[in-house]
Amino acid sequence: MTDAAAPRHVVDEERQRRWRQAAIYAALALVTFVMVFPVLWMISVSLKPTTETFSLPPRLLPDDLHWGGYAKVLTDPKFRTFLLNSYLVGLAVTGLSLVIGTLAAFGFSRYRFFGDRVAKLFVITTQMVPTITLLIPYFGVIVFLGLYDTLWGLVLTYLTFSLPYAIIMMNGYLDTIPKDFDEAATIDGCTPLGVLVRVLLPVALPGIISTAVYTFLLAWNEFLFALALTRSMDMRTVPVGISMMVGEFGLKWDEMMAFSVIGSLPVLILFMLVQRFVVSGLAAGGVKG
Amino acid sequence: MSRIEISNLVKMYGSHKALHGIDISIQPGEFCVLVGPSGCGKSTTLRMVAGLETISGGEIAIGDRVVNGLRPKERGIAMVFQNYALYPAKTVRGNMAFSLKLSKMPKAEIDRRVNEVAEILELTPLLDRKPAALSGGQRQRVAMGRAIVRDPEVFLFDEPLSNLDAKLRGQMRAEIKRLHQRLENTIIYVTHDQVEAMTLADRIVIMRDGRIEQQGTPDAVFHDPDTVFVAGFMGSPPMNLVDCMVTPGGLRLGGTELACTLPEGLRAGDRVTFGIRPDDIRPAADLPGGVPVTLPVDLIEQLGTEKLVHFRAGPHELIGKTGGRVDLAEGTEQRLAFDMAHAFFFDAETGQRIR
Repeated sequence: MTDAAAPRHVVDEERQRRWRQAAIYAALALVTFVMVFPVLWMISVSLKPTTETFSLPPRLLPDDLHWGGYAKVLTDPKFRTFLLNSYLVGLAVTGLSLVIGTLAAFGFSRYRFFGDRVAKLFVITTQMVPTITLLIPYFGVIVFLGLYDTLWGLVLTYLTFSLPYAIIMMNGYLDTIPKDFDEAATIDGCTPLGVLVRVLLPVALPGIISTAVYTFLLAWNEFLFALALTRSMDMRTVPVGISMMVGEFGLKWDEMMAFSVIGSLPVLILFMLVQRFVVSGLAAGGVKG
Repeated sequence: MSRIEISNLVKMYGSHKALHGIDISIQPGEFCVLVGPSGCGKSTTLRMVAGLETISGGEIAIGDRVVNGLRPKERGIAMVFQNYALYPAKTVRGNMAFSLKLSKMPKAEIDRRVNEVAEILELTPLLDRKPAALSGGQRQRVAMGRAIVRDPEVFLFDEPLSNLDAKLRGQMRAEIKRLHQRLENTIIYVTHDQVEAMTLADRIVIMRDGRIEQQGTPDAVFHDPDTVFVAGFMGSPPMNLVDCMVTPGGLRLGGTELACTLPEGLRAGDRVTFGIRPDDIRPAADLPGGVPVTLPVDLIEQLGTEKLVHFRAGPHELIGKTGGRVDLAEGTEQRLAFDMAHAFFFDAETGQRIR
């Protein structure tokens, strides 16, 4: 049957389908533009001399690419320290969150113990407190612990934010893995920790990676506590470093945006690497679905 | 090969008693099938033998050792799960070698064993695949392979075939039977399928509500049931079980008088549960020695080699059998014969056999 000979309702359905698709693509394009434009503008400004930043009409790319901002930022040891600090804090928070969070989640997921529900509820409610209200108490605690103006102070603070998330996330993930795996592994000779490490974690890999990305981002992007809990230049992180470029009498837009680009790069690369790993259905096939 | 001695085994879940003190004695190399409806305690019993459930009371001994306090890996058992429980991140080889690696066996020996078992189960071409890339039957074989490589004293099977389609189930059943003939290990096998139980078992243990109803050879439980539950559970189509009144000359079945000799002790006016297998109700022409009755046929199921004949006797519906080529019409009165030599009588109250 040719198109011309197709009954009217078939043609109508086909037309409707195309319209629907066009609408979906238009909506996606709009959302993408809203998301991507600030990033493009950041890159654009980082490549313009400060004098051209606000030139009218605005242009995405200048005639001559201006690499001065990057040169300044990359050669200044101060910025290297900020980057290093951010990495150290981010990696420490991610690593500790994963280890502690996974162990706690394993307990919640696989064992019943006195007060387990209350404990889980408590973990969730900690997420509902606005962080700004915690600033002063945290400041007090960190000073009391002698961790003011140290990276450990930041790591400890961020852990209190990331751990509940890691526990909830990993608990949710472990709950989806059938207990049959645990039992098969127990009979095969695994200890409870062996069950977690050798059998459950390989299956939970997508969950681990998502949790890791989230906790790393949380530490990488955090500004308020990093500003309040550190004082010396040696302890500042990238977001605080960027904010410090806002001077009293002027803004070095190119340097600020160049540093912002450099600050965003690891996150972008991380996402691109991780996308390949986060595939659903990694657990498929082990048990009858 | 080890004997298994289960004595007075009790399982409590809180205040609920799931197992009421069961005793099973399994000989070395015996294929023991636990069968019963869901919730009867068969899987709980198996999991207690495996060490996956704590023991609330009683004793389990494998070989010469009481294993109550031992961890699963110390019990010398291997288990095949209903939904396979293959490790998804490991290859077939990795799955089969896992327990051997954990027991720190030398790599050469692990390879030798895995290859040998893969050969037996025809898994050699699949050794490097992940479970997701296998069919249901292949996964089932890997699950069995994983158990066999360990060369355990006892195999435990927890409804291993219930996720397979009917044809594959038949094939795997034969494969398990052949495997048992070859390996001669002691096996405890849990199923709710009485056909599996009949075909595989050396000994069948029929359970109900946390108690053993009867245990014995497939022949014994099928042809000599102790209770009305066992009589109704074993066999497909199930045994006809009808509440009847004893009369001076035999039984009153609906409005029909069935002349027969009854066990001593039954008197006219007693109520009994009368049981007879469909095989023992045939058209009168097929069964010359039977007790003839004329009854209306209301449904005929053609199975090919035979037909199931559904007929009514008063309020009761019964099933008889005849050859696949015998011509019978639905809705007609037929002269049927009951082979009363193979009839059973059970106490209408307790369900116990009256012999």
